[in-house]
Amino acid sequence: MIESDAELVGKAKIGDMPAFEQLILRYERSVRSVAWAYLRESNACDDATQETFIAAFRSLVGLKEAAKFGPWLMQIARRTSQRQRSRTNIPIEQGTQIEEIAEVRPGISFRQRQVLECIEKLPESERLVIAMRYFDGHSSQEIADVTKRPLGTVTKQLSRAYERLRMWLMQSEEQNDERE
Amino acid sequence: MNENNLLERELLQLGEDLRREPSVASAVLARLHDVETTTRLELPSARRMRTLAGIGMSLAATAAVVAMMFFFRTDQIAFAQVQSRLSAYRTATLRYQQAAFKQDVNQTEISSVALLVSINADNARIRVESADGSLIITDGSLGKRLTTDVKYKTATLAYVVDSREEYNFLSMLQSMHLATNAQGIAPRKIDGEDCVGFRIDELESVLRVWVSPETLLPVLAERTTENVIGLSSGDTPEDKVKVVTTFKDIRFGVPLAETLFDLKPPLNYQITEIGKPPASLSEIFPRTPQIDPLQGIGPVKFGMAQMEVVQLLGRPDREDISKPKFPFDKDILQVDDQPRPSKNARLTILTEFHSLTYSNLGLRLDFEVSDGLVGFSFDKKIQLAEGVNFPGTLADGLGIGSTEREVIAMYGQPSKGYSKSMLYYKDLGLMFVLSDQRTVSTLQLDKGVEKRLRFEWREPNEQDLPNGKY
Repeated sequence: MIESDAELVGKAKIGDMPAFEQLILRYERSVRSVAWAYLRESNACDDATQETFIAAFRSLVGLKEAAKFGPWLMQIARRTSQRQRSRTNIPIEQGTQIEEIAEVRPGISFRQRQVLECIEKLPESERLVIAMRYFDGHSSQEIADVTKRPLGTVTKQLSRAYERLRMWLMQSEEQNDERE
Repeated sequence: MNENNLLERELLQLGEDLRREPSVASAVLARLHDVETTTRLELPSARRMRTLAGIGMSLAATAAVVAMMFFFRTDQIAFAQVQSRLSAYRTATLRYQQAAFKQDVNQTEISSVALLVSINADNARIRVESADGSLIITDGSLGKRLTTDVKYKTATLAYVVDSREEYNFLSMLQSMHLATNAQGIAPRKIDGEDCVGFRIDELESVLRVWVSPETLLPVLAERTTENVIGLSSGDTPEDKVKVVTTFKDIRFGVPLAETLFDLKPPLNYQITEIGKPPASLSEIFPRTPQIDPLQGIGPVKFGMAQMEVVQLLGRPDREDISKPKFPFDKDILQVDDQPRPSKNARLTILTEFHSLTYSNLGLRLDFEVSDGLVGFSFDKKIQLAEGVNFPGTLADGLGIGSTEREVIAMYGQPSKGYSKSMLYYKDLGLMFVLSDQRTVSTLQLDKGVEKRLRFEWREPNEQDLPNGKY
């Protein structure tokens, strides 16, 4: 039976490293997706992902609601990535520069960058379910189990997220067309 | 294909691309292990006290800060969780081994003893059985101890006030000072399980406890005391020894037959009775004692030395040592009038409280070396000896069990800035700690004046630093 985030967090708080490893495996792609949205460079993303989990482990004691580990972790990922971006001074605001940086790591296209940026704009609850579903490969039922949300809520959040992403991506395409 | 399907495919592809990156799990765990084994964990910055404008505070406020630190320290929280889990158990059995070693190069073993210990926390009963079948059975609620000697077929029934804490593993691990001093140490594999380790520095010894991550219960504990003098005849002060006490094969919640704690010796044993019954309330306080804020209770007054109190009340049932701890920010340049000598210097609190608990009186007394008796605590959590009530009340009749409303009606609104679970009247040095039912579960007295804690800045290479994680 799959252990909930709250159960794993409880164990990790007393130093149970295998439990914390489970949490890493459960969320590392989601964390990486946040890092990609800010850093867009493989090594930098690696660093930010590691830093995020280390910061999370050190701060587990401050997490009052263990069931909210996911959203809390994403906040840490965001702060960590932002800090790293300001340290490394990676320019990301201009579309052309994004494309140049994208070439650093083949496989992530400009379009995918746009998708990641749109995901970053989603409300926290929707961003988490999208990341868990597509980046960490969890089923809706698993997401419901580990986040302690009803399955219906998860599916609703997924469909709302699709709707927003679809709309924003369409707007981005229109803006790109206008530029061209 | 509709737009949602198209988007889903894009998301799936993106996920696949992201998953091509190798997992960071092993790297993170390796780094955490490194962090754990070489440095102390830092407090979450958001929760750290940002200023230490004044370090003076009342005993009650000190207790509140200590409690707060207890809450926010990772290792301490973890150990407190273990203690919380332990509190659900009233019985335990374990193997107790104690060995003494010469503190020389060879670490030669001088002596060793192996005992089987059974504990029933109800009525503070402990049975200690040696390999030859000799017994020591203590019943704390009756204040009696039976000692039998198989070889000489003799038995001694003694009146005692202590409860042989050295064997009482349950009670020992529930002591609060353990949690406030707990530091994480490297895990140890025990019976195939990677058990979480804690180190607790005590006054003269170091206690290490390994806990099962599965049950959150201790599976092994070791107490090491070095520089012990005079363990065997012929020792000179230079012949210091190291004593290692091991608690193993620990089982919690095991059913223990009443007969195990029977204080009747075997039929053909010669029995001797020694000692006298423990001091009773009426013996120490001939009249119903009155608690006097800022003064004390009956003949026990603030400022008395520890020895004076022990002469008056007898030997306590337990002694604890606690040290207030303060978080300090790396940016703090001065505390009170003492500037930080260097960037790496750390604040060391020198003040240490000694607490004596009297189960026969329902009373805990806190002493500080320079100021003597500085605090009284009448606490429901203190296990009372049979037939003992809490000693006295305030002149107005308030005490343990009074309601929040009654306290406020008598004393008005409490001092501001303290937890809602307590009513603290700073000027009177009176703290009423409230239970969930909002009745007084603990009544604490302090001297009602700011208690200045002794401290000094120390460089990292100066000794008396906490022994680091290993």
